Amino acid sequence: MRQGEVVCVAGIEGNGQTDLVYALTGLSKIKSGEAILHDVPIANYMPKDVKKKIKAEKKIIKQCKKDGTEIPPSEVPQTIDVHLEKLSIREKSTCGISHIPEDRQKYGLALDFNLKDNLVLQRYFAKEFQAGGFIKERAKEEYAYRLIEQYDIRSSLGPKTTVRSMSGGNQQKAIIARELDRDSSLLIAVQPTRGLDVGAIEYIHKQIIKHRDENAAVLLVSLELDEVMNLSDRILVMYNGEIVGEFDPKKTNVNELGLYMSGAKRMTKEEIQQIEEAM
Amino acid sequence: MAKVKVNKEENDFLPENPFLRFFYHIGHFFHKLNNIKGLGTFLSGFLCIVIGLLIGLILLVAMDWKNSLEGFKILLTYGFSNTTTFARVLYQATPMMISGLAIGFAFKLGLFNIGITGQVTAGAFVSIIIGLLGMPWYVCILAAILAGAIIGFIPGFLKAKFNVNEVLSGIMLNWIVYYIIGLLGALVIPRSMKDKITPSNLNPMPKAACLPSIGLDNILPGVTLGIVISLVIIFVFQIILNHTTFGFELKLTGSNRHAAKYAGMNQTRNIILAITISGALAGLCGYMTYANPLTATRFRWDSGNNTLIGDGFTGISVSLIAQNSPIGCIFSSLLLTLINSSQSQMKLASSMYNAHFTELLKAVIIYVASFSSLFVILLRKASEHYDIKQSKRRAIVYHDALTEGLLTEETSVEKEAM
Amino acid sequence: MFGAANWGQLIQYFIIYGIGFILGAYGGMFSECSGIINIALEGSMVIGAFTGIAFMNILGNAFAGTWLLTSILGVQLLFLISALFAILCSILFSFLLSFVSIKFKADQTIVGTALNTFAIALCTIVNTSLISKKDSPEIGLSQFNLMKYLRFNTGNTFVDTAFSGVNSAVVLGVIAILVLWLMMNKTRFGLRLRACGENPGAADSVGINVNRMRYTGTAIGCAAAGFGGFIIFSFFDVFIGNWRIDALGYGFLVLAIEIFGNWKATGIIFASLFFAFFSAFAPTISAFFSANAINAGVFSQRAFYYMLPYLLAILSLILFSKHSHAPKAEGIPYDKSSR
Repeated sequence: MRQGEVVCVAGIEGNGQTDLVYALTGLSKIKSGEAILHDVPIANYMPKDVKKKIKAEKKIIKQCKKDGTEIPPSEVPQTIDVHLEKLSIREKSTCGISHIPEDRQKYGLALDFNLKDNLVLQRYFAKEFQAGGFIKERAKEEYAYRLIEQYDIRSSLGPKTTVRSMSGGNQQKAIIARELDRDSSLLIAVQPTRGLDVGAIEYIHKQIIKHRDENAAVLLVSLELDEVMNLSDRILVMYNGEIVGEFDPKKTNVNELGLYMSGAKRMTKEEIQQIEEAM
Repeated sequence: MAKVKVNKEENDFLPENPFLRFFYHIGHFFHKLNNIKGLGTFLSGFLCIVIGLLIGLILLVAMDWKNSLEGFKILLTYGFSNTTTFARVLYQATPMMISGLAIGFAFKLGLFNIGITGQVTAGAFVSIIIGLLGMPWYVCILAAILAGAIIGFIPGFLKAKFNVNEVLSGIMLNWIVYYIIGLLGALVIPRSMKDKITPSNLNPMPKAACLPSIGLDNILPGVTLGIVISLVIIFVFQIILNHTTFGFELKLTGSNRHAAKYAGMNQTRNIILAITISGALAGLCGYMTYANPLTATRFRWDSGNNTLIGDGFTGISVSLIAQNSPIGCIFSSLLLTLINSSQSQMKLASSMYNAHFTELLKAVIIYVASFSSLFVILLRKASEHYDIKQSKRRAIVYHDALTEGLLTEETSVEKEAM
Repeated sequence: MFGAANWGQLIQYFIIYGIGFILGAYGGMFSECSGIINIALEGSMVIGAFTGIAFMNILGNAFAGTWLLTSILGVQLLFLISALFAILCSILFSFLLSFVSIKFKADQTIVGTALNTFAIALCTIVNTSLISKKDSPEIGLSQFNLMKYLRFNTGNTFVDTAFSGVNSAVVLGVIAILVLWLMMNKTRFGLRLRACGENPGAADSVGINVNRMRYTGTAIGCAAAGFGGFIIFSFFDVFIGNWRIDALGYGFLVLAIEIFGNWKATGIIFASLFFAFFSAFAPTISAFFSANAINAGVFSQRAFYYMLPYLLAILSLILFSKHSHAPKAEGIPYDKSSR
């Protein structure tokens, strides 16, 4: 996947899309294979060898200052490639992966908590929201107000609302607000508009496109073929745990997708690669 | 639809029908209550005590109706009758608060640390032995906390790594610790440490190992540094639970562990840490139970009669009534000790009221407390009901106003919550 | 040496514990398979034991000297009716758990624990106020000398000791176990019961009244546990000494047996027999050691043997919890609107 594109994984439910997402986000363990996230800034994730290099460089800089010699240019890379299968869920989150989960009530929200707690569900330990372990309630509340304003989340009591009492649409908007506001380079959205009304669906589609336009990569998993055709730049069809086809939404139609989704037709690896290179 | 009229406050719309207006006021009251943080919890706890006491009164009447009021009065007021009994209430409540905190703290994570009995017993045993070896009180406290933490670590570890239900492993450990102490007492502990008259008990803790006094010995005999320690610990934990990221993690894991996993929280570490801390607190409770110079209880090491000392279960009652809030544990432990202190005095009212009645009363209160979370839900429902009714009324008023031409387009119409 | 009398004692205890544990574990199984976590098995055992023994006590005092207490048939009848009374009271006790769990949607683990304390306190106070009128929490049957009517007299020490604990209640217990096994595994009722615990929504959609099933399941459960408690503790009372009102943690041992037996009726039988053997071993071997004045350090301490069942329980929990398959919907109150 590249930045600035929406890739959609289409398929009939139960063919491995959920497992793929769980593996990428860490909710399930990866047994084999690898997933690499490129160009992660080291401020977000610093592996041990980078840390050692920085320490060594600091020593060199100190030495140079004493001697008065010129400081050599830094050899520390500013961005690195990260192997997702080796990271914990928290590390993936700080590396810039956002996840809109399929089951919003099971994974996405803590229903008995209030809105401002849910809006910082993965970020409560960030410097803006805590100091020495103590939560900064005011900072959380201001952040919540901003997101409510920006993403039009309707709730009866504002940030203090218990999320359980909010409607499904607003709960989903809260999750989307949280995930999109996080400056992520990869957004994984699974069934983001399931069970929502037309207005909410349109709104969410707009937000996803906006996120892509801000140069993020979006991996969309959806069962709604209309959504798939409208939103994506590239469509991958999954059947029985394998990618069996790759399509350009402008050049294909729902019927063709259906054939591949039901397993009636499949492409070979070479065909898929050719199509990918062409796009 | 009921007709409404606009009240002077913009947001309140009173129904004209006086009957409905009465319910409005009740709903308004509950709505205001629900918004006060922590009050719902307090009310639940309070209600379950009231109901428990009422049932107790009914039982008193059933057993001997002539003397029931007298008995009830003794039950509630004996603890306050003089400074010695009040002091006893205080120093007996001190370890109970901590055991309640131990249970409540683990409960925040959704873990039922029923192994608290084993942790309390282990802490008490280790601290008494260390005390009898001549160590001062602060060493004994540390030993107790360590012992409790080690015993507490086991169910946590088993749960995190092997998915063993902590209730079952806790109960099994209770018995295992009980019998290990029996074995140690029979085979390892020297005769000198055992009581001369009843060798199945250990000697009482020497003065140096007991909690030091804070100078109140003349007014309130028996009240030692223990109560200060307990109160400080409870306040510290209240702050940890409500204002730190650690407390947030614990509460989230307890509320929805899937969301906690999604949020990247380290489940294993949190489960083990929470139960170990709970065990450490239990160990402290064990020490404090026997570390009071005035206490008459002696530690029985002999496991011959196959009955567990019920120290842990008082912690469960304290925490249940307090709805698992640390500050609540202070009050519920005081209440339970108050009831306890009248135990032997109840016979004065009637021969039917024997010492076991207070046990029954406490058991009834615990039973009511076990479903008292219902009250919080009812309160929240009443408050939401009020909210919805208000929104409806507001919508009707604005609609009427619009159709009657009282509102123009410039007037903003408040959008309702979805 | 470890003689016929000792083996006989081992078998005697093994039979009683075995039947008691199986009934207790079935008690847990029936209520949990219907969806209600039953931690109150300890309390049920206490209630069953106490009500049965108290009933026997009252009848014994009322009919002292008559046929009921002085003939073998009479004593067996006494046990039988007391057992039935114990079952009845346990069923009533079950409603304290099921009503609150279903109607108020309370946390079943907490209610169960509260009920355990409540059962012991209730029995103690009924005992001290109404029955023994003394201040001790013990209840005894020794004044009736029931042992001589229960002993076999075949002349063979082993057979005599081994089966002396078997009375009509115990035989009824065996029949009950068979009936319960058939009920769970071979009848439509058992299947529907398990459906309510696995997927109550699906059960509801075919017309099964989930909540009524749960009430029934818990009632059967507590009845079985109470019956098991009566069998074990009436044996204690008659053969060992006064029973102090407390279930000695057997109610929780039985929960471990359930997990060990993976919530299946046959598995539970084997697991119970395994634990019953070790629980029977403890008093037998310590009686043997103290009778022969053997001192073998740790191994001659009673505490060591009493500890064994609990150690085994933890080991079996460690080994079996990962793969245990609890009823999926247990502990979750059924809400029709969630379908």
